[in-house]
Amino acid sequence: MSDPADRHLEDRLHALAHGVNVPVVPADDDVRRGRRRLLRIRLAMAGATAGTLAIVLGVTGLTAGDPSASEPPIANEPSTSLPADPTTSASEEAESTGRQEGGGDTKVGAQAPPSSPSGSAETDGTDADTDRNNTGVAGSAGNVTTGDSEPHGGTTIGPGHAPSTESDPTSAPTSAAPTPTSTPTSTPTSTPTTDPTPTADPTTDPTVPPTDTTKVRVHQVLRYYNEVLAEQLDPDRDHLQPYNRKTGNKETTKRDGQLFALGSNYRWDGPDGLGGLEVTVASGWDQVDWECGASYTDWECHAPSSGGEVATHDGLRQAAVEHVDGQVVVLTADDVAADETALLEAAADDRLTLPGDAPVSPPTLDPEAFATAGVTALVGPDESFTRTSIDRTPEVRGSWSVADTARGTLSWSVRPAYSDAGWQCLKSYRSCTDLVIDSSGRVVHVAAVKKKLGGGWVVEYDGPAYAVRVTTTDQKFPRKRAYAFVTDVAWQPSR
Amino acid sequence: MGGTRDDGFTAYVAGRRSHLFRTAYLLCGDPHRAEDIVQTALAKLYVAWPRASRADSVDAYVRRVIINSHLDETRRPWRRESPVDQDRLDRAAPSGVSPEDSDALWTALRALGPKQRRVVVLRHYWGLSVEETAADLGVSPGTVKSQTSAALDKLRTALVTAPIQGGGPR
Repeated sequence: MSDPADRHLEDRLHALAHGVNVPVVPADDDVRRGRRRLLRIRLAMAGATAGTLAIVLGVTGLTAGDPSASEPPIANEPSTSLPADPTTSASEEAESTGRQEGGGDTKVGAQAPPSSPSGSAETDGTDADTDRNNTGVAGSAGNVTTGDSEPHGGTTIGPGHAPSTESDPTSAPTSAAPTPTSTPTSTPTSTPTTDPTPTADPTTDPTVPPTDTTKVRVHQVLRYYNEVLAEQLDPDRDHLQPYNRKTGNKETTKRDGQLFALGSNYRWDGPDGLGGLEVTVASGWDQVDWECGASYTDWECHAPSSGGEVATHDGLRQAAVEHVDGQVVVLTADDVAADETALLEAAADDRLTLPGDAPVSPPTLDPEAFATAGVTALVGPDESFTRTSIDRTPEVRGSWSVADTARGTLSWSVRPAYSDAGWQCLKSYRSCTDLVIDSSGRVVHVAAVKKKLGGGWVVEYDGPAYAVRVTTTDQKFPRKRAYAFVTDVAWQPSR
Repeated sequence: MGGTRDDGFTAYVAGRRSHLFRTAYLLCGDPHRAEDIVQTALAKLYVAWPRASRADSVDAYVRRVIINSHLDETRRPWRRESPVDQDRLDRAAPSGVSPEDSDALWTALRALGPKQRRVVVLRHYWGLSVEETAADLGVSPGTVKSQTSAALDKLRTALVTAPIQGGGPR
């Protein structure tokens, strides 16, 4: 921080921070909140301890009367000689535990002789994804499924079956001595009669998205995106490097198990050295950092007639395209001279889509129409509104005046319902109320903001497509205007 | 809930609350959410007070809680659009900085990504070293350096394109 420019920036940052109106909150309030939190934690811990104790005592009580629980093993049973045969005991363990958890499969495979087929199955199973990806074999979805299924075949075919015929517990204990000496090396010679075929066929066709409704394989999807982009932008692979899960990055946005956005930054070997090509596939505009259309941005944006949008900023060129299902694909090249037509065409490729059951965003609202409608609905005839900012969310903000007297900030905005948790009564609100505003039973949420935090109120309506909100710092702003505006059906389009 | 905990905690809150609020405000840009973050952080601090005060790392603990709380906020899809300063229009201009300067700087800060903003706040508002910042954020020093460099480049560019009046180098 010896650079004078940095010091100057630091001074300005401090000046900016010191200009903030800090609310006056008594320390006792924080102590009270802390005590409540401490109490909650202690109660939770006490409850958990009591619950655990109750379970332990209950289980103990139930098993105490069971004679088999403490019954010693019978000495003449062949079970005493069985531990000498590692394969038998291991396989029996696998039978009992392997069904319940996948880890059991690998464990059993590890006990098989090195020459047994199960040995190779084990390595495939534990590292199938990484190894096969690097070989460039297409159809990654099938790879993983195969990797998962092969260890099963190895364990059940190799050490699991053959020894059980050799050391049958029904054979007389007197002949128990030869049993351990028979080494398990002969076991794998019994050829597997059942074919360990994978349950899912490998997807070798790169035109088919690797979708899987049960579990999304992020790395496979990112590898697939890479292949699609190579096909579009660099068919000879002169520049775009294949995706490698070890070195490639992944960026995901998840909520409640749903994937809202997925992307990666692929290595692009250009004439000026190594660069990057970043792809982001998102469920909607609200899930991408796209500042075109916002008043505060310094991005250079334009919308070609062919569709999509192109932005240039900070040495980057970005192309964004909204697909018919509402998903948005953003491609970012760290070269402002990148061919925008090619980027747009690549971004418009239908194969760049979120895998699985991706959330569906509502249709986009026109920010200008939203701003105009807000002014019409919220600003009276003898009042004025000076817009200070707008973005494409959309969100409109400005100052509200009555008879040329500034009365505070007025803003209105929407948030897509599909990615929103709905109304939340924040701690910064003094009160929260739900009001039924018409005969159809529509409810709006009204909150009064604490005075020390600026005052005013918030009105929000959680619609099926968007949560529409009006905020003002003036407590006297007529709220009924906001009720009509936020519940306007124009803000609830359906796809 | 002994008196020692309350006394120490109260003294700390009385002395540092405004600083913590400003930190949260710079991070999230919204006074309401900043207050929420600070309240959450202080409630957690109260619980961990014996441990944090014994380790003489109260500031570091609260800083991490604030950073993590803000991170949680930004990770929630419905909070990704951080609103602009609600009382930017009606608050008094800070001394030494013109409204234009304040507006330009805040706009530039807002244009930064959440990670870059965190780095700028920790390094240039808290005055932490690269290593301390890396420890707070749980990233490598190299990441801190690169994010600081990128953030400062953006800030410089934004502030040059939006010339200011007053508040120059002192």
